[in-house]
Amino acid sequence: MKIPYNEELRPDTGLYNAKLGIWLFLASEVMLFGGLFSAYIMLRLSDPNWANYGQSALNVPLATLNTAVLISSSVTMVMSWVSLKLNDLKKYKFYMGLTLLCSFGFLIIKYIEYTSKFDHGLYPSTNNFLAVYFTLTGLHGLHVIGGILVNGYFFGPGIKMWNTEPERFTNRIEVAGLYWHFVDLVWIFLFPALYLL
Amino acid sequence: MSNDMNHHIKIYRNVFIGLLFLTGLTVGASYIHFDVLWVGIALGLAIAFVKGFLVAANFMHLNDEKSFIYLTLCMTVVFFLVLFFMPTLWHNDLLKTPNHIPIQNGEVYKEIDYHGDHH
Repeated sequence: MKIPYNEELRPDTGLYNAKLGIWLFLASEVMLFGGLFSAYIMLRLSDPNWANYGQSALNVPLATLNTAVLISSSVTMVMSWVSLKLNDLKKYKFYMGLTLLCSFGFLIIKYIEYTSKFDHGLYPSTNNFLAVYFTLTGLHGLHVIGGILVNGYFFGPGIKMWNTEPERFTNRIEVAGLYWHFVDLVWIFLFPALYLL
Repeated sequence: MSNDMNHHIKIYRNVFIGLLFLTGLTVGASYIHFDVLWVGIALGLAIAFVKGFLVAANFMHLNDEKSFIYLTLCMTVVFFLVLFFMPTLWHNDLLKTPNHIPIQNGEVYKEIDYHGDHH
């Protein structure tokens, strides 16, 4: 039996089911990160010593590079979806491969940043700012790893679906893309909030 | 379909350039010293919002989406604002906690321990 509304649009929502599903999931993710952002603002506003907690020790050039890497991965992700829409599987593989490379690049840069902090004796337990910094960037990093797992599947074994149900596979990439752009979106706010302001 | 997609590709390329430019602008603006602290914070967040809008509208296709998704997102914004400002109400004590409510947990625990000793 075929699962309904994987490809065709559901009449009442005007969407295929996975798309509605991912947006509801992203709505819950807004709450997750929103709560932590709210905690950050509260802690910062109520602490007169905030300026002494080592925010200026964060590596802005590396974080700027990471921002550029993540933005690039968002573009390659959307291009992989466009390639499928144009029936070009070769280009899809190219762009999805680039997306994965950028994702790993982001994590490697993050690893360099984290180890540099640990080498200087800066841990989440050191003070409230570092607790917020490691919690928010750590949670975001977990989301990047989640994205790598999903995109890695669609780059590897999951690509078989293209031969049998190409439209459903294209929808899957669109949904994975929505998640990935959200991860990018969160970083766009994390970067100035933690590193610059 | 092909022409339509080629149009999309052009937009994605322009958005990509715009996002990189705005990232540079965010970093540059952070080095400007403003006499009033919140002006710098507001400027940094304003640029972040523009970047967020570019990603959401173009990459996530929110500039041309079904009303059901807009409805879901409107509800998300409402709940997000409640979540965001609820701690502020508590922080400034705008909810006016009545003084007679026993907020000193130590006393309540003592009372429970006292009854516990007798049973």
